[in-house]
Amino acid sequence: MKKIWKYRFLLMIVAAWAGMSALGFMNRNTAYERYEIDTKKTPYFVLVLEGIRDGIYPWSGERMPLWEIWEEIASRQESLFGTEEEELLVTETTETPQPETENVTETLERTFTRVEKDYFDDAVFIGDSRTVGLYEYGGLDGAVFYATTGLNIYDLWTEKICEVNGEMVTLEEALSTQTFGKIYFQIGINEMGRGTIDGFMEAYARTVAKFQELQPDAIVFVQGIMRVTKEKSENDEIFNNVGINARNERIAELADNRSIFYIDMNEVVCDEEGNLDESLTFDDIHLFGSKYGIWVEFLQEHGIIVP
Amino acid sequence: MVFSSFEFLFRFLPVFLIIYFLAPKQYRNGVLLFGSLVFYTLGERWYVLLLLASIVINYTLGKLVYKSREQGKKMQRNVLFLLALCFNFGCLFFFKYSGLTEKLPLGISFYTFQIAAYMIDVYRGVIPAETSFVKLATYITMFPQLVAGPIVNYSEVRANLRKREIAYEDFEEGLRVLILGLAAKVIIADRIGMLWNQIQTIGFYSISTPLAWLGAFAYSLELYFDFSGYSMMAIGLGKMLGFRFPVNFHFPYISKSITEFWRRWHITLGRWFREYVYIPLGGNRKGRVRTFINLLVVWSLTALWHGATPNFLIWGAELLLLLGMEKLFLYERLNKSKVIGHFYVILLAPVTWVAFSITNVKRLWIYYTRMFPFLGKSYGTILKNDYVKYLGEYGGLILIAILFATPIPQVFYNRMKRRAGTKELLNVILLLILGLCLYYMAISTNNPFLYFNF
Repeated sequence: MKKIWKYRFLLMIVAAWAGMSALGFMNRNTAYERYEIDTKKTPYFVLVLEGIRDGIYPWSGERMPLWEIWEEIASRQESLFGTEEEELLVTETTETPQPETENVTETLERTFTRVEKDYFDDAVFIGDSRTVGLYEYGGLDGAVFYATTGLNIYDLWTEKICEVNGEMVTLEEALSTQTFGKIYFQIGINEMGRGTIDGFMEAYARTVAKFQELQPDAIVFVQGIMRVTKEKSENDEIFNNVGINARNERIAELADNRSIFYIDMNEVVCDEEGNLDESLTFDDIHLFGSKYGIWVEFLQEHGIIVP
Repeated sequence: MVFSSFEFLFRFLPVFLIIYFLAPKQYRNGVLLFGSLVFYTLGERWYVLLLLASIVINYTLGKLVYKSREQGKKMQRNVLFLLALCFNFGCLFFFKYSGLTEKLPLGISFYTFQIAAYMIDVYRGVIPAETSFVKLATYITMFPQLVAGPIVNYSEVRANLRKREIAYEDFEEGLRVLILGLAAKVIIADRIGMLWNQIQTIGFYSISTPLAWLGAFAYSLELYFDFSGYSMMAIGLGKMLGFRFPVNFHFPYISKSITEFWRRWHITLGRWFREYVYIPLGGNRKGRVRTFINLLVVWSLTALWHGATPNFLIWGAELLLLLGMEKLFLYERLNKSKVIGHFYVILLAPVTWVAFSITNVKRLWIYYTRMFPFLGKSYGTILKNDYVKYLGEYGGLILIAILFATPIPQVFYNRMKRRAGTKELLNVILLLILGLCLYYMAISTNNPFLYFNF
């Protein structure tokens, strides 16, 4: 027995391994329910470690993932505010054939025109790392950018992502205190693999409605999510172009071509098969710094001039 | 199956260790051989047959070479020896450079060199041919060093293959070294590597000169901690099993010359080329011209060993140029200097590593124009003060890496190990480090959202 005690370090490791694994195992159906591990290759304590990253501990009990909470709040708001807003969002897209609406759109519908770079001087760009890249390498010095890497539709309004006068504030505060003529919005790749498309679109539509509420005179450009390369798309169960296209189709439905416009920069960065051109990227997901000009050029071709 | 995976650390290794230590001592080589073959097969499947064939052929030829040596049959000995070399290097060439195979068999560069060293030593009569197939096969396939070195000479493990006592201090120390190596790989190398990855994502046209240098430093640190970490894990595992493997890295970045750097970097590879190529060619004893030709041969082969793409030739040429200059006049001066030599290595080693990393020659050239803007102008949008952004993100990690690239932490480690009280504290610290390693492994392997946080 004394001999075993000499292997103190080994014993410490084995004890920690056993203890942590027991924690993971006992809570595998509660606190750690949403994690999946291959137990043939992975010990149960990995559940505990993954939980730590997300702020979930064994005593957290059954907890909903953040995005599910968000989705639930979104649906609750719906019932609180009645169906007015909801109908607005749905009918616009599905009931356009009605003669009266057609008349309205005819008179108000606007078309894209070529604009110069100063067009973006009263624009705000909101999005994830792709928009960060546009900020850093697009050369749109006049525009304002509220973008961070990893941003998703669920924490868009809760995180302090906007720098206003040297202070970090939430998007709501930032949009309440300033006036913009155009809002460019591209988001949706980080959300893939979490929640459902319907939940995503729910949050997305609400976000656009909120833009209009906070910036009633601004033109909102909802941008299609930039696709990934063929290599990535074919080898990734989550981040692939099938998933991106499904989202983009739904995003496009939000456009009313009066104050909300759908623009899809995939037209200029993808090959004939619709995959992101491999020569434009190193990591299959982001454009090279020197290629953001293509996106800017596309944006310049798709300006909307308010008379 | 890499060492820094849960599958290795918490599935393969514990099962293997239990069987290994339960087995009677005379069967332990067999257990190690079998375990190593399982380890190799899990990663490579059919190439295990190539490995086995290689061992059988070298075992047989080794015995025949030795016999003909004893019988004084010089001709026969030479023919058999050449046959063995042709087979070994033929295989390496076929799989690595012919372009006829899609995938390189795991560890072939390492085990080929080990087998060749064994054959040469038998041929020279430095060691007798191994008569036990199991012992020779165990030496070649031993899983701690099969895949990525160190390149162990047979004479270094021969005694331990016959008899080994594993004292509890050695086992515990091996475990600590294993964890330190894991930390070097997972906590430092893999995370600093993300900066290099980000720079490639931006594209070399669009990085500022300071960022290009920051990237080169970051890559140099990543490579060091990745490779030396893996070697440490091998040494630690070896120790746990009762073997003493040679040190492979000895703080290369504190060198004062590139000559010294390469005596401290991947030591067992340098030793191999010195013992089996440079000295047989005459080393530096046959005059200046021959010395340079010998250096040229050694460094061309070293470059080729590292990879088959053209950038490795550029990398080799850069090293040859620096080493040649040092041989001519620079070395003495650098070695005497107190500060300049260190600056010289810290600035130039990363320049050479860039050529090691970027396989596309055109992209390599662009990178060099960014590091040395007088070589060519940039025509991309460059984010102003981009390096400030990345220094903010990676500065802390880089400082830790620099600290651990010096011998200072080792001094403290050894001091703590000596006293009983501080040794317990050391164990606790290492347990926490292990926890941190496993945390990073957990959030990067099981979750696409860390590396793919867009």
